Amino acid sequence: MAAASEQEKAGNSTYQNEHMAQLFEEGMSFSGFERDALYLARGDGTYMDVSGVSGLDSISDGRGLAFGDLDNDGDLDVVIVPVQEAARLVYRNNVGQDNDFVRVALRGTRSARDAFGAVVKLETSRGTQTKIKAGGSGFLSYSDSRLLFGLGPNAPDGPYPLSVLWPSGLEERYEVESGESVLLVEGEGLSKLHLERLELPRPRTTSERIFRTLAVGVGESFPELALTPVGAYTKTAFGVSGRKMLVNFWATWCVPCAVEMPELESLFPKLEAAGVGLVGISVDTNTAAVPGYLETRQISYPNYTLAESDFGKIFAGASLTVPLTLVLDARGKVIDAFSGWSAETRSALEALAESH
Amino acid sequence: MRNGVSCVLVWLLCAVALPASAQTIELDRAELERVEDLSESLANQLLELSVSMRRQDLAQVATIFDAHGSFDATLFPSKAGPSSLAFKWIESHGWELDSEPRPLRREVFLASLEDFLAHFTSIEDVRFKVKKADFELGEPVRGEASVFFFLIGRDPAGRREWVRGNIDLRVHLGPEARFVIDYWRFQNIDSLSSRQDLFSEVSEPLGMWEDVPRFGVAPNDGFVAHGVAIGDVDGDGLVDLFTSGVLGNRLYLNALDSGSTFRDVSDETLVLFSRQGTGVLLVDYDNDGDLDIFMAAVGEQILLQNQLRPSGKLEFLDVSAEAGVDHRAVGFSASAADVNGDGFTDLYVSSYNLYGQIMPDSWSRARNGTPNLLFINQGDGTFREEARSWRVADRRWSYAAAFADVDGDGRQDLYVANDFGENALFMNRGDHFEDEAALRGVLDPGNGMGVSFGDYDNDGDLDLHVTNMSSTAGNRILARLMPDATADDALLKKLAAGNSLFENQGDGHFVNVAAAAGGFGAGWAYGGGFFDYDNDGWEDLFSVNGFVSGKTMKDT
Repeated sequence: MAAASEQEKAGNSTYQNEHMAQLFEEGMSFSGFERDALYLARGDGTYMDVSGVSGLDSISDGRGLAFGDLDNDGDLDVVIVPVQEAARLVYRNNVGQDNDFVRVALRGTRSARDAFGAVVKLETSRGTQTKIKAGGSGFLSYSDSRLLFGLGPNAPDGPYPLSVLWPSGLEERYEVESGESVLLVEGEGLSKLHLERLELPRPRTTSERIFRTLAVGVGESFPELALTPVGAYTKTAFGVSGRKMLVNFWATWCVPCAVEMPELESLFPKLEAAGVGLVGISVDTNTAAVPGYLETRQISYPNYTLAESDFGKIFAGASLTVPLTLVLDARGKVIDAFSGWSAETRSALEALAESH
Repeated sequence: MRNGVSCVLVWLLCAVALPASAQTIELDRAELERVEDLSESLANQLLELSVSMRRQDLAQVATIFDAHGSFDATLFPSKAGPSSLAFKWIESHGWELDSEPRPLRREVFLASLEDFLAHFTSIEDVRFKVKKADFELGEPVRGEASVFFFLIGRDPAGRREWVRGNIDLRVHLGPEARFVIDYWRFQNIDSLSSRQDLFSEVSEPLGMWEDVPRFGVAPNDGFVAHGVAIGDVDGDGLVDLFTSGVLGNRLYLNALDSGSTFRDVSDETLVLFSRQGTGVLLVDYDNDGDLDIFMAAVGEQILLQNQLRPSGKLEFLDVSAEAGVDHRAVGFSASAADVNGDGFTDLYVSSYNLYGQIMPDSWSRARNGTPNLLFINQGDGTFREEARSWRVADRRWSYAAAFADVDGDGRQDLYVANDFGENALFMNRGDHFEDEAALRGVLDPGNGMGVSFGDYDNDGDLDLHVTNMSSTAGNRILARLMPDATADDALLKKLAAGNSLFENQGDGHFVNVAAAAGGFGAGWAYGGGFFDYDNDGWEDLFSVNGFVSGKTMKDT
């Protein structure tokens, strides 16, 4: 193959390709962080971009995409395979099941058993809905081949006229009712499928996600830790203290901690007044730097350093993700967790200070 | 990026360098590159602004404004207008805006921003995107830009809210080559909010979460091993999930009916030990009643036969060689239909090329891809590769394909989406195909990525959706190149326009109605298609977008 001349024809391509490889290695983006796009049909031939309120608008760099009713609740869930970070994303449809539907599965006899290319039409108040049993669609992907027809809210029971044009050329007509799932076998008629309506699990809350990275769980007692007070603080009671307590894990090398700690300092009097304790625990291995760091930033709430041997009592994995704030109840049980310093953390902590 | 030529720019210039327009473009190139470099630099600085606003780091936000003196601006709006039901679960409301900019001190402007951000209990994303920019190359360099702004957050009621607005900016290039904003005017701003979350991501509670390294970090240096198939492989009435992927093939069986979630059976069913595929299909190639797995692949194509036993034991046997599908290709998507009407499903592989090792011989009409494959099912468990005799051994850089009987003659026709050029609509003539994409209005020049058929207007025929590339940078460059668009420039515009929606005229001829339908400039789109997610009887559209997100948002 005359590869060289092909490359010459493409002008800057060699330059571009080497350049791109270098850029990706450096962590540069190329049309990155694009949100996935969902367009809602208005029913008049126009669409409304609802991406930003859909929850389906991930910034993952999606490639393969398939639709399917994973829990047989009568609506299409979504599976995406992105190019990095997550091997797959599974989106539970929270709204489609509120509307009525008809589901049609197909099996060919004269046609190939797959019956790819079969076209099903359903007469509804919204016109003739037409769907094809596709042998692959979109990019790299294959969606649930059981065809779902939406009927909208409070649809009449029916019957709804349905026709199938099989790849063999055979055309058949049936009637179906709202809510039915049916299997059509070419030339052999219709049978009803009795599919149990199941439910995909609810999404993890933010705090559940954080706890999965921790060695301590919700409702568990805060562990005994080998702590050394920084400065003149007396030992804090982490057990049955009789009051709520915020325990903030941080490190001198942690950039968001430097943002968070002055904010915590300014919240400290409010929290005290509300009867909520605040304690900092540094996870620095070089503990010598800690007192100076606190002094420079004028941090007045009690602080400790934690022995490295006890890191594993808090963090499940090898990496220490700080800042981490655990919320303890009056009996010393862990009841909540915040990771990272964000507007969300701030408002949650402010709410704590004000709720008492 | 500092080499003065952005990747997007190189790509578009090459695309633009068509015979008819080559000369004029050459003349503009140097200035164009300088101006695009400035646009890109402004765009990246606005991305920094996006990030600092998302973090509500007002000290960082402040750095893009002049610390001294005042600048002309309209304040961030402080008062939301009344809400009205826009559609279904979606409400919309406006915001009260100052009509004209007035001289404001930086602190006053930032205080209005702080008040505005206080409307949201959490902020997921903020973005300022440069749609159009012009610069005067004086001393200092001055510029004007049209900027699209959005914010996604939650309101105090916990509902997702999406604020969108357009802003006119004037800037000058200050010290350290950083732009300073001299003028900020909201043209408009409004919000959509949803009464409930339409979708929730649940891969982790489903037991299907797996970490994958960043693109470019081993083993994630692969090509396009990102396929997914949904279907019932064990015949229990629940659909299961198969994915290819850079970590290898995975099969998850649906166990929601036993109070469990999904069970990873990749190991015990042996799919884990098969070669890595790209595009995936569930197909009963041997008509024995269970679903087999066909995978396109870079290298030899892969067929895994379902060996479901009456006991319920499920294994997949690699029969690629015995079945005769072990032909080499740079296989991307796989598609299936009975092409010759013999009652057995045939298979088609869209084949690309080893981008990087081989570059397209043209950015707009590339013909040096690897030939696509057509496997004709012999009905005895074997296939014969007959793409040449069926005249579909296309050498374009094919991404994806889909079958449908477009002209109503009872034969399965084939639409193929190609990168770097035009797409094909192969009409099935019984023993060969003929490309009628031009005649039928579906050439869709550009960078086709994904194909699906569906009926968007419920008129009883199948329309066609093709995902494509759209790029803010591309649009920006084209707007400057082609301020007075004519019909001749349609191709160029198309290169940056986004996804296409082709309405079937009832006779297998199509018209692209994307613009009339509202426009689908989704981004750099891959998978996508028709999807009536709310079961209202009208096909909605969805596409996944984005090429590669790096460590920072800063774009090349």
